[in-house]
Amino acid sequence: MLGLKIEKRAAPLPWVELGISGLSIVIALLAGSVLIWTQGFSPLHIYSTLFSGGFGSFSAIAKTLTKTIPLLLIGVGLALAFKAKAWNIGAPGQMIIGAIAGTGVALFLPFDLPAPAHIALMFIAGFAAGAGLAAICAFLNTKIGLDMVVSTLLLNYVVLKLLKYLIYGPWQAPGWGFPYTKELSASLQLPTLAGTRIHYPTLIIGIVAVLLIYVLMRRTKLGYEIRVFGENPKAAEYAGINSFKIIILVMIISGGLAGLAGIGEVAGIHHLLKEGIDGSGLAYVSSYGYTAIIVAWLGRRSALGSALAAFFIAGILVGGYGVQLIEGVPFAMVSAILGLILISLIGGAILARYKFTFRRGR
Amino acid sequence: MRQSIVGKIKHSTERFGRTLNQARVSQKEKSTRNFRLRKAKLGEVVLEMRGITKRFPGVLANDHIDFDIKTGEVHALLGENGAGKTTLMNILYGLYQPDEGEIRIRGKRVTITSPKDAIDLGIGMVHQHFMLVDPMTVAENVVLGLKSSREPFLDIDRAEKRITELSKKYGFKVDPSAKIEQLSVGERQRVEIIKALYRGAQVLILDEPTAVLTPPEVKELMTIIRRMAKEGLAVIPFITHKLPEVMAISDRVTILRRGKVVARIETKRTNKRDLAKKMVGREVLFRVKRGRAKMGRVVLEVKNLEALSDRDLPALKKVSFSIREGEILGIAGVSGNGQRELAEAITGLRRVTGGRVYVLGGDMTNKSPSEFIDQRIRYIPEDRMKRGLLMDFSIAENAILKAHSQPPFVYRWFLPFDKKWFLDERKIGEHTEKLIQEYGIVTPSKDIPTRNLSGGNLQRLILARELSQNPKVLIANQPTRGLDVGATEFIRKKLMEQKEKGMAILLISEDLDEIMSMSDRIAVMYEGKIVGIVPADKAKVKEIGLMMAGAKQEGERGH
Repeated sequence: MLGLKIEKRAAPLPWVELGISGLSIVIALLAGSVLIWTQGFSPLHIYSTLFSGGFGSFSAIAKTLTKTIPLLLIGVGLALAFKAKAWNIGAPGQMIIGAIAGTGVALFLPFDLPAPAHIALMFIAGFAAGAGLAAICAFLNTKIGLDMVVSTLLLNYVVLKLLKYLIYGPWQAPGWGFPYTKELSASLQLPTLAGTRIHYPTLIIGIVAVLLIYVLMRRTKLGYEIRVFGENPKAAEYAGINSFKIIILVMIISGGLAGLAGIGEVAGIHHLLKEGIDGSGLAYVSSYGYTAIIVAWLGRRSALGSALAAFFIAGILVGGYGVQLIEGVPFAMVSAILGLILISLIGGAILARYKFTFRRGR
Repeated sequence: MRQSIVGKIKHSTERFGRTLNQARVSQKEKSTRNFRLRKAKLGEVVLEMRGITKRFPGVLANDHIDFDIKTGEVHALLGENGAGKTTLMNILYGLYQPDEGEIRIRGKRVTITSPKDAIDLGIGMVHQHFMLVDPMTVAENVVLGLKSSREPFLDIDRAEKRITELSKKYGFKVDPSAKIEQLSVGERQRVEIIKALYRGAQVLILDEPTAVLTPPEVKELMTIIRRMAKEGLAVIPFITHKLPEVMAISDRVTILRRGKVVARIETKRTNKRDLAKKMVGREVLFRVKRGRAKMGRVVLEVKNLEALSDRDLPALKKVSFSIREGEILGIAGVSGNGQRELAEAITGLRRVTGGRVYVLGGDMTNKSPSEFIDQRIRYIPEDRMKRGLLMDFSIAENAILKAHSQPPFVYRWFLPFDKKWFLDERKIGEHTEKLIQEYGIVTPSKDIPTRNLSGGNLQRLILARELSQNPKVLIANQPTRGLDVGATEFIRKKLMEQKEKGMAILLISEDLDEIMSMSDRIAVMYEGKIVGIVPADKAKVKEIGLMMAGAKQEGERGH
């Protein structure tokens, strides 16, 4: 008889965690290869197309970086929120509301501003809208105990309907009848790196956000309070830490960053407001706002880790698009593999906290 | 009669085992049957452990330990936390495998690889924390997990009958049809003992049996233990620091220190002081000398305080008292009588539903925890690991909790404006090193996760942190519970030192010895009320013990 013994153990070292993340990805890819194989494709071939499509050439990297931008902004914000155990599932809605507010400022500002100031105002509006939406959920959670997973998730649908209302209704561009707003004036469109679609102003904002959150978590007393609260709310209460402040704050930051990602996509890529600016469209099964949840977990809820994870996941998305085009593998397969990665990461993180010993009975 | 009962029990245990694993049991059956058929002769060696060695990474937990016990004997195992008692017990109970050494039962070598094996071999264990299902009856709890004679139905009647027989035989008073939630702690413990006996235990391990009992309950337990020994059971109590009880109940004592047996003595040939010395390896002060301090202003005052428990039941009923600078007010009582709620209500952690809390005359009723912290009220919670510390944080990160937003731990860094937003790791590190030194916290580094510290060191860390923040009032809830003699002595000394410096201390403890020796005044809590407050020099243990059990209300009420 085989006996399995499970004991809790101390938190694993950082390099062990990194190894566990790597191993989790490998396990997910192995499980995914079974999926691919059942569809009659060669897993090895598909994976090599996937990775070379995402990371294999200059143009691949450029595309990957373009997709990294929203994932980075949202992912690092979610990493912060998740660190405080604020389960923000509302990034898709916060991203869209940010895009709506920013586009509104871009299209309907009643007075003239120089272009840089106008762009800045668009981004401020985007941040404020995303932050505001998230803050509502945080407020309801701390004041009446409304579960944040539920409230943030449901607001996603509300915001999506609002977007549809606007682009099919009052904000629709005159003439063509497409569900778009009219284009942003050229001066409000973000510059891109030559020959690519990398709207670098947003990328820079993203990198600054990562660094700020890194410093916040590692070096500041506020970051300390967030970590204490996330680790053990009872001990945080005992230490006089104001849980209301912590939850509102991390939700404002993560919602605001999602809002920035939203307006970034509008001003940098699409140049108009339409469905799918959050990344949910034909090629992508789900919004960046959901994919960023995987980013935050893959990054072990740390700022730098999430930045790396954002790049990695963006590469898989880009490569997955290529796999679909070239090999005819359904994209659903790629999102299934992403899902497997998430499951095995979370599973790995939990298992890493325990020690397993098998022993033989008689 | 004894044979028949034990036989029946054995039978049911065996059947239970057989359904699980035919081959295993039939092999074991020989030894079990041997064990069962032989008439228990008093004084025969039942259990023998020879050369038991167990290594953990970096620690030699058990170093060639020999231990044996005879029928009808009470053989206490004494040692500080970390001395290797728990490891030895876990080996005996099948939770660990020894690296070396052997276990023999009535001369036959056995391998115990699970608690089930241990139970089948007649080894029973009563844990310190009871494992009972509250809404179920005694009989239901006792048969939990056993095969019934009328599968798939329960045979509660038969179980109740057997429980009554066992109770009669060993002199318990237990009603088999009572629900566990109606029982006192002492009664629950008896249920645990019955559970073990019902499963045919011949060797009974008791883990810190008196830790949670009131003095009258301790007395009762001792009577039961003596009775069980007289009836031929072998009893092994594991005890960390209650030396008087070791002296009172045991025939022999084995003392462990750092994984080794340092002494084995017949109880009648030794005394408390000698035991303590052998256990700790040096002379120990039993009673910290009660310091004299000038009593100053009233710092904390509580008037008709009321609060609810976590289950929204009244937990505090019009509690009133006051503490002065330089005074220790001891709150005696069995835990669960409102002590935790009291501590939380006067630290802002629990909403007060009636009455007032004053600090230096200022009304602090229902202020937030951070406002209490600002008033320099500090609290050592009974739940060290869930409330008091962040187990996965480093020691340094834990050492600044509550002071983390105060200079010198925060600084401006590069900010152009005067906001101290950043943590000064160098200052935090220095502070932590100082605390580690001053409070003798044993750790390889200040940067390791706090989880790696032992119980005594965890408590030293909390005490160090709270005292380093220079409180006006310290609320210490069970500050030495579960700690070994060395750590206990240290913590009591530190508290006394602070009192002499003028700190007001509310000492909540189940340990009556601790309360009696440390406090200036003693308040007894029972069912959410303070049943009386008496000056320590006039207090009698017996009287306080009775008050703890709710028997008597006397002394000055209020303050």
